Amino acid sequence: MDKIITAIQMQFKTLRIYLLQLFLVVFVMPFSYALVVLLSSGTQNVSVSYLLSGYIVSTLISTFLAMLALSITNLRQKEVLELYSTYAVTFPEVIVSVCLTYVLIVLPIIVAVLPFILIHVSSVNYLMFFLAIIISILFLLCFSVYLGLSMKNLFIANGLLQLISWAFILFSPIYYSFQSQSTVFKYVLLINPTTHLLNIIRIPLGFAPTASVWISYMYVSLLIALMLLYISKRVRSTYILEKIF
Amino acid sequence: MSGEMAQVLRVENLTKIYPNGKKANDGINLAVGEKEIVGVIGPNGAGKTTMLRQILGLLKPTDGKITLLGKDITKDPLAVKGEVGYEPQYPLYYPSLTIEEEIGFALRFKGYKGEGYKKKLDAIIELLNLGDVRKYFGYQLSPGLVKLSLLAVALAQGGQFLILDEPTSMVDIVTKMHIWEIFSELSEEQSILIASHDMNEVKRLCDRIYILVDGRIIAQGSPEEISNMLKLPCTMRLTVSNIDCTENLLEERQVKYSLQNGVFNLSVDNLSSAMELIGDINSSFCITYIEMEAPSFDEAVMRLIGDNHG
Repeated sequence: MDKIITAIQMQFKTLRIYLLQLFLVVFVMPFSYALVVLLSSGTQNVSVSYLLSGYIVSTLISTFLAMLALSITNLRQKEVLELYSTYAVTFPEVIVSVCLTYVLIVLPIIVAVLPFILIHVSSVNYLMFFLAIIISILFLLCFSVYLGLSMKNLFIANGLLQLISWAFILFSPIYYSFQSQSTVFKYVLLINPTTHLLNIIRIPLGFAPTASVWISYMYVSLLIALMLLYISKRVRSTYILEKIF
Repeated sequence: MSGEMAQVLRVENLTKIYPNGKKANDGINLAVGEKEIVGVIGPNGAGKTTMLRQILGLLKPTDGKITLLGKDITKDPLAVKGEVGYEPQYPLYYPSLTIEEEIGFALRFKGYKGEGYKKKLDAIIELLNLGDVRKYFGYQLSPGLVKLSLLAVALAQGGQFLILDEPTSMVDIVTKMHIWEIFSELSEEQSILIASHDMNEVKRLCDRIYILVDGRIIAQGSPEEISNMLKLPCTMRLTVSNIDCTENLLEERQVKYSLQNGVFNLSVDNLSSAMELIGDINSSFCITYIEMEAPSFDEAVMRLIGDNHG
């Protein structure tokens, strides 16, 4: 555990030169989407808790998919692997520390937003709500690590991860209503795991379900299990410099 | 290496074939004993770094066995993680960590805390004369300073064994000499494996040297043994008080020589002929400066590599 804590402290130090990028990805981009919705709809037609629950998921996607996944891809570059090999820390320990670092980065935003959500709803199933937040974080962590480990080329990953992040936000009812969409588009939205994350978060807040809550939980859990299998297999192999030197 | 010396590293029949079919290491056998400095030299692409990366568990060997500190690295690459200090060949750095932080994290991963941490950190920074730049960030450093900071991390990592890939490339000559002194002192307690292009470095530091060409070890031994592997001429550079008379003597003796700016470059068949010639020149024309290598290590290595390369 000491090594993980030291590695987290190291991650925070290494992020110092990316502060502005971090601020943009973690705060500005997700907030700007929410602001656009507010400005276009007017505050009276928008449920604050609906918008802010979407804002939490949007922040998680933006931070994990765009930055965490890129950090994982970067970790697998031969120069970075070789640099880390000079330290008494293993590759799985570094992966865990990077994940925890990004969780610690987004946690204050979630904590700050939660009271605004909770005061704008009449009743809340707190247990299911917090479970849904934890599952959402876990799913997006796994998905980011999965993407990061799958991509070999850092330069391609840099663009592709932004694109995936954008698609995850656009093709899910983060900032718009699921019910008002066409049947075909609803099916498209239901393929996206983000829709199910929003579903399990919003049902405890009293919003209408987009699908059965258990189907959403099963879908998300199945994907988490599959991704964990892949991650554990990839992370266990320390022979990762199979290039010519 | 003597049979009694305990082995820190033993590489047996190590072969590495990359996915594209390139054979980078071909049946390498190598050993490093306790408190021994062993050098590996060879041209670019000889397979030195590939070999080191397999020893570090970063690359999977195609065949062969690596035993490091008594553990089979081919079965468990992480078995001695933390017991081996490593300085990579390339000047790699963390852009937003200062030198002090970079070394500090190496110590903290090793479990150093409190006063012990501070003392060790200061000692390493002082040892490598990094005090003036300890607060500099990675992106602010010259390649030479980056290499020094990597060496500092390797020293902080400590352990019983150091693997150094071209440890003094990119550093200035004064620092290089200082680092060589450090290595000599370290070898009283640690074993060191050095991959280098610098023949002066391996000649001066290493107890034993392996010459690696096209993935194969083509020669091994002490610098003296390698120098004597081939019948090579003795080379000398000297200046004398009377140039004309010395030229007459050399022509009379049919000695191959060249004269440039008053400096004679001589080449004779063997050491005894060289000693006899030096005595004769000095008694008649007084030698004012002499530099001699007999037989030449550099030339022996070049010939060995040349005879076995591609």
